[in-house]
Amino acid sequence: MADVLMVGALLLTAATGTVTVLTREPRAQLMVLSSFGLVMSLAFLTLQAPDVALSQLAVGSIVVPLMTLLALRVIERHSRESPTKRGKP
Amino acid sequence: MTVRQVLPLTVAMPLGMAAVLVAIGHHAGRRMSDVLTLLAAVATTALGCAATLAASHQRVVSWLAGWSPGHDGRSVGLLLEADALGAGIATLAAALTCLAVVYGWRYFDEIAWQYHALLLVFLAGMEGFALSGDLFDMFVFFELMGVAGYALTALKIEDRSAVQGSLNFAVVNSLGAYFSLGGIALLYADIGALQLPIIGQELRTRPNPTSFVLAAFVLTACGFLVKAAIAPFHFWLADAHAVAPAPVCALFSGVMVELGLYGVARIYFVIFDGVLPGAGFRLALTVLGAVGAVVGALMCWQQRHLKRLLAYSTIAHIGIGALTVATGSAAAVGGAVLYLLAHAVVKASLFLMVGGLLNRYRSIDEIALFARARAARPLAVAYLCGGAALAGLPPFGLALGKGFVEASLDTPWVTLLVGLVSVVTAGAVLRTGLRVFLGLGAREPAEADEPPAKEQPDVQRRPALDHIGLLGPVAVLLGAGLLLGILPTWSRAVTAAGAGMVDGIGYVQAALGNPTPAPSIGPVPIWRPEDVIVGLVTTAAAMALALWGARGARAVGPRRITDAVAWVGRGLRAAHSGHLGDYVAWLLAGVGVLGVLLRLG
Amino acid sequence: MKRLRWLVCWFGICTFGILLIFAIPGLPPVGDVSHPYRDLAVRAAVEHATANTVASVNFDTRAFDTLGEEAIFFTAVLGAIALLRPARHEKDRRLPHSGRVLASTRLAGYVFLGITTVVGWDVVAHGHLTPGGGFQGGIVAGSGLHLAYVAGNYSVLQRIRPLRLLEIGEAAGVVGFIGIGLAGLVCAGSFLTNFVPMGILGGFLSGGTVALLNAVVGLEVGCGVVMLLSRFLEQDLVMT
Repeated sequence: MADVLMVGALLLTAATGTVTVLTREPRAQLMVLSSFGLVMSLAFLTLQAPDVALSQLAVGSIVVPLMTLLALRVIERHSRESPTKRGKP
Repeated sequence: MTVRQVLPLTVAMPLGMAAVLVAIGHHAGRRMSDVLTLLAAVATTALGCAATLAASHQRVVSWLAGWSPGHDGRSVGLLLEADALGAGIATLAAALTCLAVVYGWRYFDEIAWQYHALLLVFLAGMEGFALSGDLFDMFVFFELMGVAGYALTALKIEDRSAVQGSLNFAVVNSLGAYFSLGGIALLYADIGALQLPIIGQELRTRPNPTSFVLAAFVLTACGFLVKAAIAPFHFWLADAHAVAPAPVCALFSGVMVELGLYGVARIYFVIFDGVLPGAGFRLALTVLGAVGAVVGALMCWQQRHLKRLLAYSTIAHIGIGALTVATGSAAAVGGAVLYLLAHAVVKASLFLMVGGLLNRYRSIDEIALFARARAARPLAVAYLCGGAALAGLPPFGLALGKGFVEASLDTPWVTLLVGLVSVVTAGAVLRTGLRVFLGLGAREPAEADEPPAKEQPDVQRRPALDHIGLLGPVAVLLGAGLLLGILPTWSRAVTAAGAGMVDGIGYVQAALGNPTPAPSIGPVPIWRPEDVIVGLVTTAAAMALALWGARGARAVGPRRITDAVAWVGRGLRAAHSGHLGDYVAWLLAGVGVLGVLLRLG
Repeated sequence: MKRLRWLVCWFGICTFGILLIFAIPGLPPVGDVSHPYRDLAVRAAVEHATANTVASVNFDTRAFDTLGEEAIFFTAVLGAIALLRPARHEKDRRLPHSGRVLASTRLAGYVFLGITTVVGWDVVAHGHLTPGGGFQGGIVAGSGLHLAYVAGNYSVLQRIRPLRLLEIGEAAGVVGFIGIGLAGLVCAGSFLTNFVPMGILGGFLSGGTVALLNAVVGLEVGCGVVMLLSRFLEQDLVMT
């Protein structure tokens, strides 16, 4: 039973990971990334690592997506306000 | 308090001071922040010196929190273990940080305390990495160095290329770190221990499938190879060096890159020596080192951006270091350490000088700076001395170390390669020196396809080039490079420290409570007449190359050959595209190449 | 160029895959009966009356490691704050206008603000007994604070978030960790030794320095997360 859960969780992790990479639109990717974090923490739980699962839950599905979302908004606003300044650094 | 007990303070002290700076930084003011930082760096240096002295007699083993191993040789705890080389590198890191603080006395006025706190954390990371006797701890301090390094690289936020350079650095390094973590996980899953000596002990006392040790080594070494900028893991280095503040560059090229190679050598000699097929290791590191040396030298010659030029020269020299470590011969590794140490101090001084030029003249471009620094006599002398030292001018330590490596290896192609790298990289440095400080050669118009190298200066004021904050650290560094060649006690101690690195079993036994005295010094480096002659010849060749380059590098020789050389140069420049995707692809390929070479050997 | 990049990349990925395929079958199976490190770690945890073995590994046997990890977090926050400082052309600031918030959203926000804060600090306080600890609880409590922004507006968040104090709290977390380590060095002869009375296994006051280190890490991380997010929020909301 535990093995089935573990394999299932790992497969789900691989699947959501792949979907995260293949999603190209940044905002949609963020949402997928957040659920990837959630799936990862489930995988840790099935591997009997509740401490790691808790960290992963807090960081992977809350803080990282939130930071990325805020960063995205800043980038979008910058490119909206000064489209001429954009381009290669 | 014994040295063994205070060893962890090499990490805790700079880290604690960084936290204090963050707490009081807003109120403390500029001067206070400078003084506190310098205080912490000096104290760490002193501690490092004490550890080095103790370790040169016998390895200093410090099991932390009282969890030393039981009679079965197992422990849950972790340890710091200082051998002469580890403690020596830790001291070098702290000493260079002192100089960086003195040099950057007026840097980043608005966020001085943040800059200082980052410098101190960076130092703490380097100390921990150099002294750690635990594989996972090495990874943690590797990451600590990394995080502080990314922030320091991007500190000039008004400069977009600074952010880009830092991003390349961060992504490539993090990717390498993930591979390392994977390798550590493999080793832990199999052995159930993370301490280097215990892993080494276990692996040596049982049969291991080659495919397993091979994968474990490739993955674990990957992150360290990225830090060491061994080809093809080296791409980030020039981008990061080009934009980081000059004192940070001095730390990067002076210690951090060397620490990467140190990490590879440490895990190889303690864990994998005798476990991994030795021929494979020799082949892999020789090939990658040689490729890095050639690529670095060729790219170095083609640069106009002075910091980029110095960065590629670092890649070339560290490549030489790698192929020497590959031989596994104690004498050769000792020579390589002397060579790399002398290179580190000279290169750090060159970075500080170039930083001075950038701050004074607001440019880092060889052509734009043409003849502008003619008045700065002392700096000109120092710069040309630095270039000549890179070329192998006796009696600088570089030439001594190089001669010792060549004598103990006695392979003609290595001698030839080392000579070539010295001539080309030093030729490039001397060329820029001749142009910028002496105004030699023609003031050529910039090539149309290449915009001049621009960079934000590190400070708002324009400090003079005879400022003591610049000349002082430069003199100290060049002096150290010189003394390494002149004082036999110094060169002997450094060589012995390097040679001790090879003794992995001694490292293991010391940690498990059976200390062995430091191995007796075999042959010592001395100035042989042929070393002096070779050194003079390479210096003359580098000078000739520099003059030729300064006068416009007009093609000589058959057309077909010059065309081929130009084609290779263009290809290499195209490969160093600055495109992050390229760098990641090369890193992945590097993992593959490393695996294949290890298998082939 | 692009084709070459993919060629190089796929070569790397394939060889990496082959490397792993050959290496992994030799490893011991998942959940194997014999595991030397696990046995040692559990024994060490019980010896020091720490119910949560993971906490014992993190804050007792491998506490130095955790100091390094805490330093990484500290540096990441410090670096983000330094890099996200207002650039020279970004000096003018404005306060974001507050949008309209549904009453139900407001209510839910405030209720969950209370719950997450309590849960976060509870996780920190019981780190030596139950799963979780300073890092996890600190993140939960710190990021939960931002529900105030969801429920109310930016000025509410600013009121419950004294940044100067948090900065000092963050630094105090690192200094505290090192201080406890030094106390161990002075009292028991080795840096970070668990030197205070251990208490009874499972009791709230047990585990010796494990609980103390847990608390200082909670302080550091809790303050650090708020600092970190504050700079991102400021970039997004306040600067023009």
